[in-house]
Amino acid sequence: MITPRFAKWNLIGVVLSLVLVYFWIDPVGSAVEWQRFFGRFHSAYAHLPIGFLILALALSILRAVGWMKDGDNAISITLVLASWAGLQAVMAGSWLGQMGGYPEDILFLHKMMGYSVTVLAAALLYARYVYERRVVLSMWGVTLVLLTIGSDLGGQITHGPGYVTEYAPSLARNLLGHPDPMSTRFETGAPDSVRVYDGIIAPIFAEKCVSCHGPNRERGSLRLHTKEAIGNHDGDEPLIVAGSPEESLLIKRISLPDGHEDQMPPAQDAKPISHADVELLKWWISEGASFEQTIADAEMPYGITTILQAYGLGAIRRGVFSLNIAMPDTSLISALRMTGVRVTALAENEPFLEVQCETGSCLNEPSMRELSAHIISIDFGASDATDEDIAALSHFPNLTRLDISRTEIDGSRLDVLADMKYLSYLNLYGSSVNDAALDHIAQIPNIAAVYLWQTAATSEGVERLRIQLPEAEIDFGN
Amino acid sequence: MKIYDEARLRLAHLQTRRHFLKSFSAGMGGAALSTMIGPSAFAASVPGVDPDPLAPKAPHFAPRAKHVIFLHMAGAPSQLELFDYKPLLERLNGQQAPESLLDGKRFAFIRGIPKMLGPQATFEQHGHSGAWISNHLPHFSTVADEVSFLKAMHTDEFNHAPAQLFMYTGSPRLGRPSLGSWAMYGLGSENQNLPGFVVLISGAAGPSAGASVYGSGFLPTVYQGIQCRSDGDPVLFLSDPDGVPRDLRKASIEAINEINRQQYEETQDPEILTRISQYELAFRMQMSVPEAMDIQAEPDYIHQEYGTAPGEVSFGNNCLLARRLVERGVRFVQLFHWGWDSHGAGESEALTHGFVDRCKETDQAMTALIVDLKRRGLLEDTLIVWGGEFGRTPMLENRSGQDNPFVGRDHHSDVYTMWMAGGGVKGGYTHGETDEIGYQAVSGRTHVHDLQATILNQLGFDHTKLTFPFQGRDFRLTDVSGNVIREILA
Repeated sequence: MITPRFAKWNLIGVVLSLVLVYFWIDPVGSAVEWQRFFGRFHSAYAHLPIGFLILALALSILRAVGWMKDGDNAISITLVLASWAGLQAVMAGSWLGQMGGYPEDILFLHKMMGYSVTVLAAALLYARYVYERRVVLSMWGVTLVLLTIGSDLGGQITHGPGYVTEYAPSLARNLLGHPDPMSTRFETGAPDSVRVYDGIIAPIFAEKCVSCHGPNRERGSLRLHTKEAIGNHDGDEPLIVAGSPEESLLIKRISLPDGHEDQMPPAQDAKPISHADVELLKWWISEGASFEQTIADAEMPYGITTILQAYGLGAIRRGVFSLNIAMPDTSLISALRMTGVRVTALAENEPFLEVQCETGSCLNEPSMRELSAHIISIDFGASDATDEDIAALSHFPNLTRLDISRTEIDGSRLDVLADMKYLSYLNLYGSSVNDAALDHIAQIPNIAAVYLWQTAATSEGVERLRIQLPEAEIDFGN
Repeated sequence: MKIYDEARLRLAHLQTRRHFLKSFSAGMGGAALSTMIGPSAFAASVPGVDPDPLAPKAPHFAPRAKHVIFLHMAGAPSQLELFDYKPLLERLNGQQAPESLLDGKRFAFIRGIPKMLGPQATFEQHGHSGAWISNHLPHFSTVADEVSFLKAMHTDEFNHAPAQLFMYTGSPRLGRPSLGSWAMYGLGSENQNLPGFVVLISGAAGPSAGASVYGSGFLPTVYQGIQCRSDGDPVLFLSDPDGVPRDLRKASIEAINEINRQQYEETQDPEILTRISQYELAFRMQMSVPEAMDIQAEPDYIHQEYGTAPGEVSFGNNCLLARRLVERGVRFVQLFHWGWDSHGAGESEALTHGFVDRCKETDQAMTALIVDLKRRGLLEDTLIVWGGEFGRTPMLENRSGQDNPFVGRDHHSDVYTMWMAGGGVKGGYTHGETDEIGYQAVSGRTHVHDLQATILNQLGFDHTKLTFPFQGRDFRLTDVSGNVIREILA
């Protein structure tokens, strides 16, 4: 028979043991081998007190509704077992926690839930002898709530946040506050302003590395939790060689095969780092390991774009595509087509248009002027365009391509192109442009290709232009 | 498209002939009515069918190329005599191929244990990129820095006709639309006076897979390639018959088209729309095609650069025509040059004779095409693709087993070289690598479906979304595979 006296001493014993465990097992200490072995059984042990508690509750209900005449003692025995099984689970869990690699704040909460449920199991036993039924009932309520929260936290630690609710109906998921982890892991929403380091790299370090290499622990005298800590690293081999991921110790250690003793994160401690994360870290280092570069400024190979799109990165639009322009008015396009101008949309869902004119006067068409923000390519090839017509190009600031080939123009009004910051292609072959016009071309800020075959320009003039525009391709037909 | 819509489409197809005959017996009475109704009255009511099938359409995303010139070396040239330099193969020349090389392999003609065959050419590196190009292509060597080589292409087929079908339709069997047709279906035609998809054929024979390699398959036939000739009538049966003046021709085409429009309203068969636009196109082409196809209009230095032979059928003429067509807004120009099937059974197909002749026939003109497009600012949005339907074995083929003064190689589907230039492709780049004897790919292996996906990508299409509903499912050029070869894109 379990007596009230036994229940009292059981409670005192459990509480004292927990206090001892709390101070004995230091969360940032290091577990020895047998403790690690024992610790690994935590997830098995943790289910024992849960089972005992539910059995005790089930028996209590059966007893209360009168389906079980005797058996008070059985309920008490179950609660004693629950409290000692809880203590065992707490000890194993504390050692497992020492092995590192778990998110600290959740781990702490989970631990507190474990302590509380263990104490509550012993307290319930005592309360059944001492307090009235109402108190016991409310204690059961608290126990069940803490048990649920503790289990959920445990699930989050082993399987990541949102594991339990992953397949829950979306309404329930939002109520519980577990949004899609893919959309919240990295900050990719505003690529113009968010830095690669802050938005993508720091979250990987925080998730995979900082529990051992961070503010609380400094395994291998490495800390990765702040820019300063990364910058101050001083080791035999350089941690990060800007521009050369394959020479960076960081990448070497996280790319080792399974089973290698230097593999990071260590296989026994934490979840392994994903291939995608390794690729992102390599990309950051090959881009110069900058703490300042924004996502939009970084050169992004296709593979990286694909990875980041999975995390919610939208299309990064550069040059003229970064302009926010509404879709063009289709009636204007029809009106422009009626004047004999050939109009094509660049692509589905793009507001930009390309036009082809057979006469230079098309630039003065009202519908063309109204669509001036949309027009990014004008083809005057083999038309009657004159230098005066060219002056009207100043109304089309978003041009990326301009074809004035096989016309009579001498290029004296190409000065209007000097402000066109998106213009990259200028075709003048077979026209009468001369060396004087080349000086205007040299002013175009982002010009990438100029075609000057069969023009009045001289090879000296073209050589000069090549020096003025070293990045551009100047084609003189030779 | 729902199965119901497709059933309606099929019904329209089935009804065509019968209703056509009926309409003829009913005579011309309806023509006047349909002129009053006008073209706007018959907007497409069959989903997936455009009332003006050739109107320009916007691609999925901003394109890098607006035109494609595909230079197909029909018969499959040997990569080992042109681009894939294998010094080890030279040392192994004449030795028996080890059996491990042949295990589980099937060849078109090689039986038993063949001997290895060293390169029948000398190689040098060219351009800043240091691309290996053989002495058979002295002109092309000068533009090495303009092209991206795909050294580890592979295909599923080792016989000419299925491999050619596979290259152009994504399937080795008949019935699928060709690459150019898909481009037309997606983009329409830029120049309403010229066909958007032109086929130019030179060499002793046409492609062995026949017209299916530029056919439209289950797409509306308006999208099929139109073969043009550089000699005589550019398009067969295009000229007016003797004694029929152009205005009479115009009046009769208008009358026929009005009847056809009325018929379309009744039956909703998209093939009638095809017929209407083909009549209209043919009429406009009577003026524009002879102008576009007249290479005599080109100055002498151009003829010298291309090495053209006006009045004959030649690859050089076709390259010059390709430039003229692209200049005029033709979307897709498909060239075939036959005679690369170098088995070595006779002089004309020997690597030391016929093959060298083919190189001479093509080298200068294809180089001139690149240079000419470039200085006109056209290479930037014109994608040039060069290649055969498969490659050749590093082993000597000796079909008769007797002493043979000529050397040749068998068909090889596992690895071969293609190149691309312009249209947003990197210059001076090589993707893919083969083993020391050029027998298998070591890295950067690319499949025919990858090539097709890449060409469509440069034209602005997601190859998985350019589809056409047929027999209850959406079909696409790359069927269920294909990855864009991002490595070669600038």
